[in-house]
Amino acid sequence: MADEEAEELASLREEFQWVLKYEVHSVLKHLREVLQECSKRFLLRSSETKLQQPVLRQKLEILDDFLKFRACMLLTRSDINSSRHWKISHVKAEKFMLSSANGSDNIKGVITVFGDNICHADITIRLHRHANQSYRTFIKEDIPWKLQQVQDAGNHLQCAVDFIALKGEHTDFQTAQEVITLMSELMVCLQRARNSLLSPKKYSLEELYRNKSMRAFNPPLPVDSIINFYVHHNKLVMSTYYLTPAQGPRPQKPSVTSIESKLGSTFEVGQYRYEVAAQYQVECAVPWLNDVITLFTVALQTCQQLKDKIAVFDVYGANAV
Amino acid sequence: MRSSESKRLLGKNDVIPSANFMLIANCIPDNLDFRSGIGKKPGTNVPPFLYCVLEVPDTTPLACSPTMSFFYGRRGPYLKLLLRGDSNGRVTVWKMPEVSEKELGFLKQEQFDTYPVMLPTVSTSLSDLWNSLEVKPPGIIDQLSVKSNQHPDEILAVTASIYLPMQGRLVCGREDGSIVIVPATQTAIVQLLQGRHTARRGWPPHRILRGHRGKVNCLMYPFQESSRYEPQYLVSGGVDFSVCLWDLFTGSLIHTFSVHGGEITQILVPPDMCNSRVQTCVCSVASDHSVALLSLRDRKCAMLAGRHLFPVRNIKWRPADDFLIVGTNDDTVYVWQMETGHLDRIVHGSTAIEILNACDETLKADEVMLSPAQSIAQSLKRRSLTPLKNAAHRSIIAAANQALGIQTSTGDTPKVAQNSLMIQPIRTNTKDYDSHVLFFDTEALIVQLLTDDNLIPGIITPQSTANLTDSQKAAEKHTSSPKLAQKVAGFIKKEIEKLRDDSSDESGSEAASATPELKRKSVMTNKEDPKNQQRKSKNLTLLESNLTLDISQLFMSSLHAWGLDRSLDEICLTKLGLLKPHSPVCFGLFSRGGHMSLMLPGWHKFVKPEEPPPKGKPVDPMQEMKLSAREALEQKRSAKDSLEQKMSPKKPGIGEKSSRASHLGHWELSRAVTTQHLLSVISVANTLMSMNNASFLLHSVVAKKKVRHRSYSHGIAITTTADSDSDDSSDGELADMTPQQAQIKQGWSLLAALHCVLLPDLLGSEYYKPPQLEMLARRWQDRCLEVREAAQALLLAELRRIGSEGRQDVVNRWAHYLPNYVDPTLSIMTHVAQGPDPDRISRGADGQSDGSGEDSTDMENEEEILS
Repeated sequence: MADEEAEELASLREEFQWVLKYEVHSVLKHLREVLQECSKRFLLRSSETKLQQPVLRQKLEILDDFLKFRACMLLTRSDINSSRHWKISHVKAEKFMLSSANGSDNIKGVITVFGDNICHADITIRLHRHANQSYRTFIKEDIPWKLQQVQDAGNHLQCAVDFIALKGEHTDFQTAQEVITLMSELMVCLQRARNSLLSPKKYSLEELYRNKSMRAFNPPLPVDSIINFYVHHNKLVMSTYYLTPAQGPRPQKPSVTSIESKLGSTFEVGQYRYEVAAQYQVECAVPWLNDVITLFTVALQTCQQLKDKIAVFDVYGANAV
Repeated sequence: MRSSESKRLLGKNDVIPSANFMLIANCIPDNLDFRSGIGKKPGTNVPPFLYCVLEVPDTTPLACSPTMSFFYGRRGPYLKLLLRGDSNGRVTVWKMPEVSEKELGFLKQEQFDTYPVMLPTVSTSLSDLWNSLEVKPPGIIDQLSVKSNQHPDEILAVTASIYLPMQGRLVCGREDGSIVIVPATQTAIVQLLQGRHTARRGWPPHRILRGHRGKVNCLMYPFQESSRYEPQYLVSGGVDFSVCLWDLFTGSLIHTFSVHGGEITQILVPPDMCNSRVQTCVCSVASDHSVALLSLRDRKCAMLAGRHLFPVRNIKWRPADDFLIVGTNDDTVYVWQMETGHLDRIVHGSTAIEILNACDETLKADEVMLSPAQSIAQSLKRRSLTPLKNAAHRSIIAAANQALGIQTSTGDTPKVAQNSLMIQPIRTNTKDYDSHVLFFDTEALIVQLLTDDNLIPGIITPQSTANLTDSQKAAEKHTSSPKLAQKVAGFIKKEIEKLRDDSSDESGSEAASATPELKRKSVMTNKEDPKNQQRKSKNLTLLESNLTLDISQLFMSSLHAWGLDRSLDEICLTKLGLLKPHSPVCFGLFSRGGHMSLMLPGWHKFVKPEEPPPKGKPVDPMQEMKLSAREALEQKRSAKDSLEQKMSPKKPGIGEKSSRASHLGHWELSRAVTTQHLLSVISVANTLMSMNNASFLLHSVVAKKKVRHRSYSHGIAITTTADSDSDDSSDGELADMTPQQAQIKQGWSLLAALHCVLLPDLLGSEYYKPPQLEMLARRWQDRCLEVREAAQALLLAELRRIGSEGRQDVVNRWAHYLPNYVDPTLSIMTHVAQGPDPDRISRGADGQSDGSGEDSTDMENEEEILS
């Protein structure tokens, strides 16, 4: 009995050493591949840049981003689909038709998404008060609408990629704790990245009203309407609110309601108080967002599986040398 | 950074991170941190030059790279420090060597085979400090956890524990898979206080349940959570993937559930509104991310939810929809149908959050898997509020009865089930072993003392004694009658069972020498009660006997300021039956909001030099912030146990020394602690004084007389057959003891006086933080009469102590808040400025409660302000 147990323990330890030596690295390699695949879909700094000159790298990145951005504008202006010669091949400007889920046609729009920017949009809204009068507005390349959620996701992804590059690849792992810590930190990054796409931040009406991105519309929107873009899962949603000056008693406190329904809620701008009279949503499915979310999920699961594996060894005493 | 000095530092800071990169690259921080001086002129590219190595003495591998920080201070002449903190909790400080340009030049020319090494100036960690303690704080069941006779220092660590307030027992799961059941107060007394019986082997009486292989991860007593469960069920989950169902009373293993594929991490109870099938279940969570509903009645798994890809974070219930909702670490929500075991859906993102929130709205009592610290707060919050309410109700009754001069008749009041003592296991992180904190509820204790009819004869007023013994008899009969017949019938069988039980108990602590022990114990039990079976059954179920007395003995013994007045200490020991603590007791406060502040063991080490304890200070502002007078209800003490802690062999002098030192330290901790401490000790002392013969010594002596071999059992266990004897003897003793009664009364009053009046003078101002007037004033009309009287006495004593100037200060401080409708001629400002009126104070000190007339105008005003 005791012999058997000792034998078992010895083989467990050997197995653990094998896991630390080979398995962890192969998992990390797999992770890196997944994340690289993922990062191809974002406008990110190139991961090939060496780590040796951090400052220089940082500057280059800023420059790089800027250049890419300029390039994006030029490209969209000249030829939208010829971004093939780009270093990051997957990011391309794509045109989407916004459509309403319930088939109503209060809003129509065509938008062009490039990375985390809506760099072109052509939107027609039917005004709330005058049902047969429509209003047309554009977003042009020079002032794009920034999709903050996509940018966040990209940045968190970059963190994770850097993390693997920094700690993972050439490290000689000795203890379970090291791997678990590494995986936990990695998972925090990935989780944040995924969550920024899955759960859109909730803004109050006032915040939406004062949103600087609204300036992107040219000609500017009528005063009594708000437009907001957000990403929810793989969908890009545009929601439009029509405001009317509110009557009646002042509500107790301004509430941040869910993204979906704000109908009837009120807010104040200066001395004026507005009430949301109508709200319309149009959306489009963005295929690469779906890919990105899937890849994030795969990466997270891989991390968790490795973590579980290591934890098992940790519990059964294989860690003791 | 500035000046020419900084250029070099800057260079150095550039290099150190790169050294860190190297460490990170191979991820074993190899304990060498490089400090390189860089060339003088920042413009020229002088390569970094290594001239000194800062070495870390400790070589244990780290989980992640340490953080470094450079500190450049101007306080002394040269204060350049490099700080390093690592994942083992160690902080290391180096003082930077001063190397001038010239020396650097020299150094550059030399060739080093080995670089000069610099050892750290300071290197310390919390566990170092803990290990350096002279007297380690005891674990709650240390005496029972000695691994083997060869190594008395090695102690089996407690990995899970639960306190059953109804039985007054503590159930501890240990790392070897055994579960120990002990009477909580007795084990606490053994570990904390010095008494004759404490060194005895196999004491306190205990029972060991064996069934798990590997450590016990979690324990659960379902009856405590909901009365729909059988009271004998105890559920435990272990590292061996199994959930065990035990019979708490017989100590047998009823069933082992093996449905999980990972160690059990938590056991929960579904809410009451679930369907009847689920109601008999408990919910267990395992580290393979599975959740199971285990039916205790049917002894089978009712549902296994095991497709979660990530660790389970929270479990919520939708009883109306028959849904079990599992939230995992990746913010995904799994909705399971409890009845059918189907996975209804999997939701991500914002919808998932909404589902979880919706559960909160429909059902407040959700189970959240919190960090240990949070869960303490929550469980305390949950558990303590109802007892508080109960206590309020009872104390009102008690107060009313007392005011009317009615003795509560023994039949009317139900047996008090509220908890004046709570034992809460705490752990600093999931891998640590349990430490225990004892929470006392003064008010509940007083109420229990006043209403508990099961106290020893001596402690009850003579008029009710006869009444009592009758009812006691009746109660005894009543409680045991259903089992009595069986027991008589199966007497012989029981006897055998008992022997077996005893042997298994003993083998728990001493596997090697079980036989002699067994003999001794069985002999003991035989002698103890040759005629009576009933006693035996009690012994089997660990004799809950007199919980209230045990608790109050523990409470008073640890609260009393030992070592200040030798003659009083003597009285306490010999007359009142208090016991001296082994080592200084740690105090803390628990607020109604569920916050806890606790002074950890180790503080008394810093007391001995003539400076205030450094560890106590940070606690202070926190307490002031968090606890208002009403919130801070419970004094508590901690008994710590942890892995590294071994009971160091007791040196003869230590007990004496520490008891002398024990009065130091906690009095200067904070005003809130002092207030609560004094209030508790005085109010309980007054309560005890108001009874006849309220001595803990007495009842143990009485018990000893009656039952020779159980020198420390409490009187309640007087059994039916012995009744005629015991009645006589106790009556006879009562008659004898009248002078002794007076002495005891005097003892309690001395004790109260010491804490009420003499303490500031005895301690001196630097060791004493005076009680807070505001807190006391709020208690002026406390619902519990004893607390109220104590608060009033203490407030008046404190007002007298601070003198007219102090009172003036208080009045000035509060004057802004006074309502201005007060007639200036009657204003307190003029009133108090005249100075103390001794007559008024003495009248107030008598405890004429409601402050009739102007006795307490100022206090009442304060109270108004506060409320």
